Amino acid sequence: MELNGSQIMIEELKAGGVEIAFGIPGGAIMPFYDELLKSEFPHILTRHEQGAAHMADGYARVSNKIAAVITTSGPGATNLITGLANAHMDSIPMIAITGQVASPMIGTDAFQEADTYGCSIPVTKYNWLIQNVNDIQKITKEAIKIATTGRPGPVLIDFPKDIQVERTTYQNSEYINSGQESSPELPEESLHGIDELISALKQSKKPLILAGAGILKARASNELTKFARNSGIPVINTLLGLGGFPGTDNLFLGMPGMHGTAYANFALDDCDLLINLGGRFDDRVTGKTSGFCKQAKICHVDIDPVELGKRIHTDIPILGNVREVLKILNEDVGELKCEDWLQKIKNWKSDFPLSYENSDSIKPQFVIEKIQKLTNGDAIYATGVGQHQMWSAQFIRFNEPNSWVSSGGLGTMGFGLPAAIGAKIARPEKEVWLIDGDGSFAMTLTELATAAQYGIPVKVAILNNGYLGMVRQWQELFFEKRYSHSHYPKNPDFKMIAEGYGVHGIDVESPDQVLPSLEEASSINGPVVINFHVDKGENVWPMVPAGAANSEMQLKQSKSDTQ
Amino acid sequence: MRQVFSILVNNHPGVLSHVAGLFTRRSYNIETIVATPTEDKTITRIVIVSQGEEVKLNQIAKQLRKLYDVSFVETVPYETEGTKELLISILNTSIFDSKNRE
Repeated sequence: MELNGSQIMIEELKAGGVEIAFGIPGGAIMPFYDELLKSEFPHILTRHEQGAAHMADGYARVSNKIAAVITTSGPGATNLITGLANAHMDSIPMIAITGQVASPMIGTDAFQEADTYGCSIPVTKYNWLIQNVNDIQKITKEAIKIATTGRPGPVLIDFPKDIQVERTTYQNSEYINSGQESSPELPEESLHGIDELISALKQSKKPLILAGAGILKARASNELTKFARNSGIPVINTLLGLGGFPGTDNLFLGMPGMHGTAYANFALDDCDLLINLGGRFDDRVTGKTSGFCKQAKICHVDIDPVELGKRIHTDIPILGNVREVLKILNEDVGELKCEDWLQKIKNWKSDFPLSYENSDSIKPQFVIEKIQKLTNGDAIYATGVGQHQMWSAQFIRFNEPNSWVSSGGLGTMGFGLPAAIGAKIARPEKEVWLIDGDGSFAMTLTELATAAQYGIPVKVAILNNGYLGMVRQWQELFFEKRYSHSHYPKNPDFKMIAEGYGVHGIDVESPDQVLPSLEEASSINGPVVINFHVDKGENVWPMVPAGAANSEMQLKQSKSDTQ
Repeated sequence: MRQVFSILVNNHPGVLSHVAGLFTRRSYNIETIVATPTEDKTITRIVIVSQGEEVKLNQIAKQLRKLYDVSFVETVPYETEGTKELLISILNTSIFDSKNRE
């Protein structure tokens, strides 16, 4: 049959298992939007292109499915860059389609022209500029495959307006479910690595698992849980790996690194064998690399060869899908009987628990504990970036994989609200809570309009301290309390803002109103924003100062720090 | 230490941006770069000389292999005979085609 370029791409998106698009139309993408309407392709109209990208991001994080993001040329495409960079850093699949000025106009500085191809090279896994209508089928297929296989990531297709309407013959593609990647076989070298790991495990008295987001992407959560429980090895989850191992299990040690638990960092410092399963030894995890796991043999399992040996010298590198590796380990490794090690960890856990001091004002950690109490770890939790994000990572006990939506690598403030909306669209049966800071929330709050327009019932808890809290904390600790431009004394009234968008707003100023307000929000059938006026001076503890070793962690506020 | 990276890439307008962009993005320095199509017009050979610690040079090779347009990466230590001087010559092979001979 004969179709135009837009129709072909839409057919290929459907065939590739893409079920929804987020975006905003504009001049250079209008023919494509016209076909989108005619084909009844599900689409969410957002208020900003960055929001569209974060929605597709949140959607993918909780469902392991890929969504499309559609923008026009020029500013539409450049607005997308933050969203792409965020997805790229956290290995989130996404397919961005950007309109481009007509082919003969490219390079003439035409209206709304930007070098989208050039701009997006460093923030995508791969990208294309379509030059021929006959390439669209092949490119779209390849784009979905590249985005969803191996180490996932965002891809971008720049689509000139004239090619969107150009016609050519088209043969239907077979439907491929992008959500069901088959695990490739492990290379021979990796099998040797696994043998080495198994003999190292037999000699180890203090083994430790560091499980990253690779566990979630490989759908290896069950295999990990089985392996840890059968062998009795304690598990640390990286920030993005949270949910990959049950938060309530006795073997769970929480998050490591800069704002990790004391016992996770003690265990890293003391272990004799570290098994990193699908994490990338981020600098926030390792601290100063020369002081990281000084006594341990290090094994690293990753699907991306570049990660092996990138930041930390690895004794046993294993390249491959972490689920396949765990399947073999589950066959060959029995109980290790490291009672002394487990006892030591148990003592650390009871001696150095996560804690905070309650007071008459609302403590941000208190709000998160109450959200945890209300939802029992069964909801989906999204965050912005900053103090509230670290407290959420510390105090929420995740029961399931893919229930944590947070910007790790790029640390994108403003990620929370659109990502939570995307997550709710992907998993409508789940309650979705966004725990946000006032700084982060204000960056993308315009997407409240999207939540209102489509009736997407996300629940937003703003921990409002009137500061860029993490910046304020660093200024207090490392810049002699010179609070350079981190204060928002004239924050807008977030309750009224919510109501202005047609969203239910609640204002909370006292601790005894925290739980009732959460229950009220939970009972309302629609989006809700709760503005919690929290303690302005609260800091995140423990903390490893930037550039220091994890063992130099400061456990809590020292007396000299307080005013 | 200096190293030569001889790589084969798909020949399309954006490929040099992808390769050069990798060096920019990861703060690797390019000392010299030469790009030229091979006998197969769809494949280009790019030869890059870069400098750094061994760990860094290994990373460059791995990162290059990861690029979708790169099909082959060969690394050669700079201090070998073959790399002291570089001769690039383009031979017009069309005279060998059977059509042109007639």
